Amino acid sequence: MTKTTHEFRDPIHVFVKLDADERMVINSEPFQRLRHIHQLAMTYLIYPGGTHRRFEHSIGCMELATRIFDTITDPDNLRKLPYEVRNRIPEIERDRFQHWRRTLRLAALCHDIGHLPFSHAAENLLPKGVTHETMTKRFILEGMRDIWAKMEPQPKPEQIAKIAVGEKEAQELLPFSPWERILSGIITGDVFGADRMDYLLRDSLHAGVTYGHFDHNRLIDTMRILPGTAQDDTEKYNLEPELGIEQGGVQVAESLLVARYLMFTQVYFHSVRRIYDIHLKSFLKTSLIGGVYPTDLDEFLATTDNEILSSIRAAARNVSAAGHEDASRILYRNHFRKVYQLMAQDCANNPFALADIAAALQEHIGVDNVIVDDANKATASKSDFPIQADDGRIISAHGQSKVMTSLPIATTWYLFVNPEQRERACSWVKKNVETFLKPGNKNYA
Amino acid sequence: MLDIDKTVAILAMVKQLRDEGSWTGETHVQKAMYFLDKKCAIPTEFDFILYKHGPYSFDLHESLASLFASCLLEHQVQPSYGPRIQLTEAGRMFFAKYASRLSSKERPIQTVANWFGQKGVADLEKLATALWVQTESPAATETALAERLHEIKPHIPVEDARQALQTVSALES
Repeated sequence: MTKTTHEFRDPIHVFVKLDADERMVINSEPFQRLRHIHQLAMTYLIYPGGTHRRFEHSIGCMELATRIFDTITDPDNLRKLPYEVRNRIPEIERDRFQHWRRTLRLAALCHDIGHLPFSHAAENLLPKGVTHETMTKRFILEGMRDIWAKMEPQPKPEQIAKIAVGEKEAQELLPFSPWERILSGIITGDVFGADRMDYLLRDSLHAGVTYGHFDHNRLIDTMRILPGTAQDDTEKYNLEPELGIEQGGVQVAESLLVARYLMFTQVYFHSVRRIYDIHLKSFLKTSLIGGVYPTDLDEFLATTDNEILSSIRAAARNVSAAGHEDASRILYRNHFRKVYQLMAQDCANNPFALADIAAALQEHIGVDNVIVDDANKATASKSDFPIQADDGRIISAHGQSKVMTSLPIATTWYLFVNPEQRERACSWVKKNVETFLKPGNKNYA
Repeated sequence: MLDIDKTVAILAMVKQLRDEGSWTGETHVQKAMYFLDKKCAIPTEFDFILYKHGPYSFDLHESLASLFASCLLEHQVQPSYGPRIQLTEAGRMFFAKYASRLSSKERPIQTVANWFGQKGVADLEKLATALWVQTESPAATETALAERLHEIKPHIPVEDARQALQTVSALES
């Protein structure tokens, strides 16, 4: 007899069960490609255990999204939702949970199928206006049409696409109903998104660090659909339903945001990881035709980390190959070295300090010998969400939690130099940097 | 690397909104910058999309994050509600140094801050979405626009949508 339920062993979620339709998605070419896309790009060159792929993350995301869905749609947990807010999500009255639960699971499975080789590392090499979410949508709406057609009942690809990528990335599919917004928030949400929860836990486990740990089971248990937070003192709460938590979940939500901040500072924004990303991007820019990734679905499917790694290896061994210099820096670990990182408080004295120091250093050791990296990630600033207090009030997480509002923004703000110039650069930095950081310095009086 | 002109425009808007008595959370800044761009025709270089509470710019959100990271802006936390945004000491210094770069933007920023100083987020959502539908279909009739607004934001009744459209049309930039 054919099995209708299948399961994966997973290092985070132990067993993940799936049905025959979901297995069909997993067995498809776009999904199987994710077995060859490293979740953390070249982070394994710094944290050797970080070799996990988008494949297992996508399955984990489906598992967490389902647990969140089951919690927030539990009738006991919907009881306190005010009528005027509940009224805006008629779907929760219609007993169509099975349809939406299935759509959510398919969307969670597919949410990363448009990822480029090495994930985010060189995403801006897509043509202007195209993101990995654009490619995800295209696979769901076009590339996987045959798979949806084989399912009974057939799911709606537009709904899957909307929920998989969220409102920001699906402007052509607007408007989102409040319910669709909640479902996409289950996957893509900034605080409670299953995507973020899974990657923090999984990246932490594989990198061999504990920064990304938090009690996700407790967090999910306290999640609720709630009225939106009052944005100012003109309203009691917002009628737009949102994902929030009960008061008892505040501390675990804080620990998630702290985990995210720490993972950014210690892993995702690790200076060596950043410079490998920069070398990789530079290599791809010279080795890809026209310096951009192909967006034709067939060509896109044909490129994974494996092909890029082969071409890096070949280019590193051939001095006349396009991208030879960056390839050899990656392969032989001869990457540019960090000589300076700007601190946030120094930036307050001179907001242009990093650029000023970089320009002066470039003058000293040569323009091509210095690379500036100045990314930042607001790991908590977008994280306001409603909390249902024990007395029934809806309050802002930011109004309630000093931990959330005090979390710094993770930044890179690095200066890297050619390893051959490292000693010169280091002694220049020691001697000169301070003059750029004092209030009243020559460039920012 | 901070873009001086964008930075000083954001700082000016935050400062003016606060001076006009606005709560000045991110939603207020977002909607005010949208009006500056679309109603006052002052290019802000931020791309706006239609989001949860009306027009929203992720670029602007990122710029705000940079200004928080650079210690030019800070959150002022209020119990129960979303946080307010204000300039830090370093932000005020920056603004004093570069305010002259605002030139033609200065007056429109004051005008927008004046329009919105006393408005709450529910009004801002309504007005900004009204401007969105007007910008989307400038030739459409008021009835068609009101229906479109109601379609995008079903919690805004057609009659309220019509009033919001009239308010937006009456604003003199």
